[in-house]
Amino acid sequence: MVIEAEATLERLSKSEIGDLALDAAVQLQRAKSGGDLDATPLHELAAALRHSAGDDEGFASVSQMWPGYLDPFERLYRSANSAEPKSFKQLRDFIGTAISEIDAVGGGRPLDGGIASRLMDFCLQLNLELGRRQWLETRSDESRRRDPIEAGLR
Amino acid sequence: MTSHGDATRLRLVSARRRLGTFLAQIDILRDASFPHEDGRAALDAIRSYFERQRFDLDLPPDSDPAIVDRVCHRLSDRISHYTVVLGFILRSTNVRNAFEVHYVLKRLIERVFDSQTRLLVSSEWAFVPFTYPMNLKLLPNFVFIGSPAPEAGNPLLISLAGHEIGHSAWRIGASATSYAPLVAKAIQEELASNQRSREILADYQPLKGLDRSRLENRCAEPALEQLEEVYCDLYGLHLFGSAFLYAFDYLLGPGSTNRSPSYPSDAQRIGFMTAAAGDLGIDVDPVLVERWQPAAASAREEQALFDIVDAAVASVVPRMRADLKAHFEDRGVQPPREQVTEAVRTAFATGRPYPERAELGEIVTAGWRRLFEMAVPDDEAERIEAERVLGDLVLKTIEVAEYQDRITAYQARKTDA
Repeated sequence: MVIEAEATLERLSKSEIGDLALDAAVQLQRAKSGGDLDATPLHELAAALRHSAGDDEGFASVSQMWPGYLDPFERLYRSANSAEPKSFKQLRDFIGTAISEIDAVGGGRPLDGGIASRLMDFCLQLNLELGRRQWLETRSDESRRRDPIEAGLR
Repeated sequence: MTSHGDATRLRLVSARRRLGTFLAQIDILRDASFPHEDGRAALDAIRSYFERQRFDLDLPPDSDPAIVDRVCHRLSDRISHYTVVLGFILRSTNVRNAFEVHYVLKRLIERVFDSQTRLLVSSEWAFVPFTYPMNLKLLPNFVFIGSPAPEAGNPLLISLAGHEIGHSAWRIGASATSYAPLVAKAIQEELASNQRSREILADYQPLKGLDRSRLENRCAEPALEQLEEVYCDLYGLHLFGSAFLYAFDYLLGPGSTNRSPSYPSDAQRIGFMTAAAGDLGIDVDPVLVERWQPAAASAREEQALFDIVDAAVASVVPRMRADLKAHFEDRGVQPPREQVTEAVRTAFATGRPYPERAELGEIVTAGWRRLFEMAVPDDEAERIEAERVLGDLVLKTIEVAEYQDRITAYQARKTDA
């Protein structure tokens, strides 16, 4: 039954995934400073990004990426590489590499070779991109902010 | 202060102070008088969540300033959002709210969600009803419904809560995950077949590779948002039958000529609901669907986007209608029964509440029918009084439903014991 989707496929909003990215950055900072790393936010972030990048069976074959995520992922790519992605595959590989590294660090990979800083930058930028709010002009009497907290009859 | 370290300390201390005052405010609100425990439970859940935010602020002294600043900003953002929610919770205790509705509406939601639910309804300073489809980790099983304050005395608008309940249902059922592939496919097909709109959106350039992916992805996002709104309308229709359509028409008719990409036009929404109503055997008064104004964009590119998105949404709606029908059948929740609705309406016509257990949709639909058949007095004060009496009959009938449920539950407990 379509409506009875499994709990594991619950869709997080952009701001929730952005929050996970910041949580992951905080854990990486703590580990980089010599403290313990709680891997939970990293694994949750990797799972959410996998889903958003269209990595799920049945979805990837159709559209390749979750609606509305291509723009922020592209900005992330440009920020990291100072260049435009040349193809969708290049963009997807960039996200895929980040996901693998996040999962690896969450799984115990040592934080050497600058990986902590690189992933922190990625997570902070992701938090920034997914946290952007869009002001939505409805052309009715009010401008309405598309705020993830509120939904209404109109 | 001359160093990043000093600035970091200042930011974190300020953040801790803000968090402290927010938590203190929750403690003050807990002492308010609540008509039912769901308000206090919401405060406790929010307090517990924000108490845990203290750990976020325990950052190493050599932390990257960017991380410190983002963590502090996030806390401010969250406090900002949930300050609004605290206000909602406080206003839900106001006597302007129709507390009579709470018990029966909550039981209805629990039947369709198949789980324990907490419900808060508040009279709010907004023209249209709204909800907070909460972060499910922060407030699991909570449904918040804000209804327009000027209509606080009008129980016939209870049916609009169906749309807001739909938003919670959409999230709880992970519907976005289910429908996103269908939406994405529909967008691809529509872009392939609608050359005119595609060329406008692509600025008359050949569409291939990453450009094609960008455009598809850009169209799919508002399409998925629109689909959620249609889902919520159909949810309201299932729960409340023609009462939902009457209330929709009352508040939004004849529809806006303006468009938001996140919503179908009001006229389109009426069309989707009318089609679904036919499928469910819900009578639709033809006058409800007449003269809904079409909406259009003012810019050519925006209209091209609407053309693609609207067509894609329309192609997915039939599948969603079938899924919803199965969902409600699975839960034993049916649209208002005509026989019971008529019996309630007859009781109202004799100036009495209906003395048997009726569903909320049946009661409110009967209220609308009675409203339309009542002669409208020339004297405005008489009209207001007649409608006030009808409103009271609706609320009393809802209270009868609550009484019947409580008696039934009590007798069942006695039998089990």
